[in-house]
Amino acid sequence: MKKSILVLLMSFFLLSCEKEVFISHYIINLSCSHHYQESVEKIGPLQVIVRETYPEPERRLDTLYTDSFGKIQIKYYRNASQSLNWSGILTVTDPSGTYLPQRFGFDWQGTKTEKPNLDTYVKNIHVWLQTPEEAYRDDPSYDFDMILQGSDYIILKAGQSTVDALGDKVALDLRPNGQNIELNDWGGPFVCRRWLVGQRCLWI
Amino acid sequence: MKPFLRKIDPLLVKIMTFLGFSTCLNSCFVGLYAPLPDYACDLSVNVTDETGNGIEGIQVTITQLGQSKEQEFGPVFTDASGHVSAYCGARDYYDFDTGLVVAKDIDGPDHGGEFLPVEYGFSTQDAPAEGKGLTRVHHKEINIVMTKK
Repeated sequence: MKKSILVLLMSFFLLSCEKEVFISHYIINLSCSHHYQESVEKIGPLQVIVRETYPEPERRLDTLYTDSFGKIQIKYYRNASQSLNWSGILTVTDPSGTYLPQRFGFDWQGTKTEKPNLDTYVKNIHVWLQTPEEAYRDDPSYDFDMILQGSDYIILKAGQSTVDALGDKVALDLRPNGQNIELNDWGGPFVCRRWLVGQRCLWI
Repeated sequence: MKPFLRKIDPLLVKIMTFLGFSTCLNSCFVGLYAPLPDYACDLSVNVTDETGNGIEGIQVTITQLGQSKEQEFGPVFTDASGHVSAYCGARDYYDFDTGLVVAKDIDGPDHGGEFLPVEYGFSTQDAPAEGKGLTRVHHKEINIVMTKK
């Protein structure tokens, strides 16, 4: 009698083990803000589309909205056997159309868990949004042609300045020898110019 | 100036390889002449079939995301072991902290069959990093399994 009860209990135990599925938790803490030069401001609500791109087939997971501060926490659950082996893309869009949409890729390879939640993977993602005009100004090539004098070389004299495509005066970063081409540590030439705000370098 | 630099390119790559920039053996998409920015990344992409064998000749393109104007680098092709590596330095002051790897089988049935294209979004924030400040480089390894059509 005792033996049969023991066998019955063992069977129940084994069956329950078989049915148990180990789940991993994936958390994305997304925060978005408007960032240009030195200014940063929280913006929202923003639309967030989450797509799982790998493994095949690609599928849309969610369409969500951040709060008015541009924040949202997104959670997914996966069978532990699939652990870490999936990736995707977040697309952040401003419904008002003020800011340009932006994509952010994410994956879990190399992501570590911390005690006591060893089955929980957390990713903190920050997305910086810009207006079309700001993005245009930040494009490394946007006024490149304005100073390009030849097909593969640049001639500019000390004190020379030019006007960029938006009409701002762009002053050259002057060198003591009157040239604006300098060699970086790796031996390549690049042109550094100082803007009215900020600084950028153009690679040639 | 540029033709001269093209001639010394291989020499620069050898020097950089000796100094530890091994990924430049295959390609340096951006940054051969650029100062290293924060969050530059050193990508190592392994493409295999479902049995774990590397696939040669897969076209790999990398797109830098996380900025209003996305930039595409490549394409490059996997070697006989299905591996491709790339140094991805950010242009201007954008950090290269997120991107998209697109792997396509463009040679049809050659090299083990026809495989479905793969898009793999990635971020470098959890990848181990070396160096500090302007010389910090994240080493990101991406393993992609392609399935047959």
